[in-house]
Amino acid sequence: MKKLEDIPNQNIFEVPDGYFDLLPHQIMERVQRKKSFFELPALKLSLRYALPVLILFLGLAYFLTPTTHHRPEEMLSTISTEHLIAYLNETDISLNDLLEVANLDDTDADSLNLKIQLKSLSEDFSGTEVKNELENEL
Amino acid sequence: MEDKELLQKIRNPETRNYGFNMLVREYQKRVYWLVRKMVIDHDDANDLTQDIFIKVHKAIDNFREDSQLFTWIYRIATNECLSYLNKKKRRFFLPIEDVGQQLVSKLDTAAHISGDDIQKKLQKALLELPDKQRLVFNLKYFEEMPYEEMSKVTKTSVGALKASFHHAIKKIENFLSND
Repeated sequence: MKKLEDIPNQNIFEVPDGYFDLLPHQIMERVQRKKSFFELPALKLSLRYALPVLILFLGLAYFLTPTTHHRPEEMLSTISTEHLIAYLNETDISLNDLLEVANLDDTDADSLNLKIQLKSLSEDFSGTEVKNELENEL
Repeated sequence: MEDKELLQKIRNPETRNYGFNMLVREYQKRVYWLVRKMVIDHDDANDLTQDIFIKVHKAIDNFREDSQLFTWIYRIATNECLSYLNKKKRRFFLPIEDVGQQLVSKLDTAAHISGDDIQKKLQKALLELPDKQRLVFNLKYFEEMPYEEMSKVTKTSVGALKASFHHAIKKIENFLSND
C-alpha cells in the first residue's frame, strides 16, 4: 500500500501573475458598487418616502376598488325565479337534497309548511273555504 | 496589523474602507487557497473568494469577537465552499460522482495547475472523498491547522475531526495503491 507520507506535501495550484495584487481592488470595487447603489440620494429618498406611499396607495386601491367577484346570493338575485325553477326541474336534485343544504331554522320551516298547506288548500277549495281554513289555522 | 486594530479601523466610518482593504490583504491568500483546493478551478475560486469577502464585509459589524477574526472568516469561507459545491450538484441535477468527475477532469485540463503525476493522483484521490471530509483533510494536511481550531471553524467535535482525518488517509492510501 502506498503511504501518504511518501508524497511530498506540496501545493500544485497556481494563480495568474499579480493575482493577489489585483484581488483586493476587485473586492473593494464590488463592496463600493453595492454600497453606492443603496446610498444614491435619489434611491435613499425614494426608499424612505416613496415606498410607504406606494404601500398605502396599494392598500387603499385594494379596499376601494369594487370587487368583480360577487357573492352567490347577489348572482342568484339576477336570475329570474322562472329560470331557477326550470333549472331545478331539469336537474337531478331532489327536494330532500335542497332541504338538506337550505339550512332552515324553525321559523323558516313553519312558514314553508304554511305555504304548502295554503297551496294545497287553494287547489282543493274555493276562495271562501280557503279563507275559513286559514282563519282556523292562524 | 493586529486584528484588534483592523476591527477598530473597520468600525470607524472614516477609516472603514482602508481597514477592510487591509483585512482583505491580510487574509486573501489563506481564503483563496482553502477555496481553490475545494473547487479546483481558478475562475471558480476567484468568484467564490470575492463572494466570501463581500459576505465578510456585510457581516463584520455583527462579529462579536468571541472567536479569532481568522477563525470567523474561515468559518464563512468553509460554509460558502460547501454550499457552492452542493448548489453545483443540485443545479446540474448530477449525481455526486459526476460532479467529482468534472473536478477530476479539471485537474488535467484547467490552467494554473502544476505538479507531477503523483501529486495529481493525490488530488484525484481527494476528490473521491465527501466534500466535508475533503475539507477536513485539506485543513489538517495542507494548512496544518490544529484540531481545536478546526473544531471552531467547522463546528465539529475534535474527536469527530480526528476520526474523519484518519478515515480520509485510509481511503486515500487505498486509492493510491489501487489506481
